[in-house]
Amino acid sequence: MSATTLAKAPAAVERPAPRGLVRSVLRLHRTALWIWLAFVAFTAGLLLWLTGPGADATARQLERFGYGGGVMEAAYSTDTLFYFTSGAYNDLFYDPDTLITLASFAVALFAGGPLIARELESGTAQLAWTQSVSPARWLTAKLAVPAAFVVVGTGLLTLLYRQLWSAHSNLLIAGIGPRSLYFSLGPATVAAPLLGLALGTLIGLAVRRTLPALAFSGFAYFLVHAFRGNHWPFQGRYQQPDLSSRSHAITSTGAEISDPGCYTDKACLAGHDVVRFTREYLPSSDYWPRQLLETGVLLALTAVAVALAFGLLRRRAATG
Amino acid sequence: MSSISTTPAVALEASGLAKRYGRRPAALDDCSFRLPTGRISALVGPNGAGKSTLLALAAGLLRPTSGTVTVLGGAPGAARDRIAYLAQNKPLYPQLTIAETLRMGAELNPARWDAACAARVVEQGDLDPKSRIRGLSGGQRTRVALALALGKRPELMLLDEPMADLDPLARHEMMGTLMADAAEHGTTVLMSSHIVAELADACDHLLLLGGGRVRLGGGIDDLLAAHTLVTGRGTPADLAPHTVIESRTAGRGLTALIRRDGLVGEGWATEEPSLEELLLAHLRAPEAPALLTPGTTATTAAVTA
Repeated sequence: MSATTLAKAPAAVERPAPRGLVRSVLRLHRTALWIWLAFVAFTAGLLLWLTGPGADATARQLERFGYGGGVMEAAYSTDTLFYFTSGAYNDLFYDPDTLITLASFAVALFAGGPLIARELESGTAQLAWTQSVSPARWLTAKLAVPAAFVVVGTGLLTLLYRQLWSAHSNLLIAGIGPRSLYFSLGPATVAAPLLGLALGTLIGLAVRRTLPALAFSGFAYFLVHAFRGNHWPFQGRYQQPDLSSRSHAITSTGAEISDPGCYTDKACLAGHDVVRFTREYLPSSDYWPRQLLETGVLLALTAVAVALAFGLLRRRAATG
Repeated sequence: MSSISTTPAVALEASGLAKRYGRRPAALDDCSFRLPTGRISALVGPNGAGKSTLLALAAGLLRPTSGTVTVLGGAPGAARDRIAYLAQNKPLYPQLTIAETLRMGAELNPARWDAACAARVVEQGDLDPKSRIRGLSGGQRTRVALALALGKRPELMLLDEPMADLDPLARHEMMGTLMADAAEHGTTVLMSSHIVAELADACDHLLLLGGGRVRLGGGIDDLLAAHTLVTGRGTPADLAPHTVIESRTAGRGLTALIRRDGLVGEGWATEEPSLEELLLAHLRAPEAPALLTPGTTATTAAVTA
């Protein structure tokens, strides 16, 4: 996975800037890029494990005992103090989402701090501008290189996550969790860190000092995150109906009956002649309208932030 | 960018240049001068006179509040590839090694980079190319910054206190490197400094800034020749036709630095001032009228763009 990320990213940004500028940006921020690649590799590994071997035990439970005796039992049997370390499949399922959210925050902080403000504060940006590179080209490279990594990385993770969802979302406990995850995964997952990158850059250029820029970027991305979570057209974490799901028990003749409510009682299951259970979440018809609208809003805000950043740079420094 | 191929006779020209930071008094105010190509010019002035602001404006790092500055025949931003700028704090990327810093210079200046020249400057300081910038001393950092500036083969070098944190030996050595390079390639240099001895040896041109304007500008020899240090019995009023820059009673007589207008009268002993005397007198007398030699006076016709 990380190999494809490496190969794809530079190719996406080679056109406008000279190769040397792109190479310089890669070299300057190589630590951050390695951390990003490590994050993508780890999260992709986790997603693949959840799609494959990680789901086996819980999937077998669902097949034998259905939602109540299988999924619920598997989720609660291992509960600990912190849900995300419990090791239960239902909790592990959401961990990549948490990681992607944290990484998006990190992108915004990186853009505000090390990418822009630290360079302006220490004067190294001015060093670059007095080589044969105009401030506008410098900013273009500074935005394009991380943006390529962000798009390729989160894009890959989102695809894997969607794959995981279609394979094993039936192993999740019903509630706001599945709904919120379902509506947040898509093009908007890629657009959100891009907006973080743009906002961080804008704040870095406006504030020009590392620590305040870090604080403001974090706050700005917190607003984006909160807004994504709670407002139409975004997913709506609260006061929303659960996703519709369909569960069946299947008898030895192949007939689909409703769950007899045996829980883990094998004798009861045998009495109802149930051999296995199935369960699935039904796709929601307003997924794409919401996703596209959300993505559109996020990308429009990104464009505005980038335009403001270039405008600010032009006003500050001499002609681009 | 490629259209200006003939060497312009003027490297740097400012016309009515002003820069204000917020509500503070202007750092530069109606500053006009002209720096011919090929000169090694010293930019002198008290602290806060606007030296760094002028250099940053010429490097295209700041936008003037009003007025224009023309660099190598064009706007400052258009000549980025042909100027080198060394900021006062010598910023470099601390996480890179010296070799990587120079490679960055090559990558960001693909058309002009002279790797051998840059490597030579670093070698002279006995620096290991593999050591990180983070671990270098101030003086070593200055050397790397200067290597980056010289490796670019600039036509105009803008140096903000280039030698301030070097030990005397290294300063002498680096000044030698800089001057040899400038002489060999006909580079124009404008450098700010407080060290008058360093300027007297290296520079042939002077710009004295005060109150945001150029108070004294021209070839050092011309400026020195225009002034006379007189000693004798009398009062400043006795020196009437001449412009008295500064006068002091010394013993029973008077010592004064004057700008001659005709011959000096009887009874005054005259001598040519040293550069230091000239500078100190002007720094102590901020209200003295400005003097720019014809070659350094800005042409009003050039105020376009």
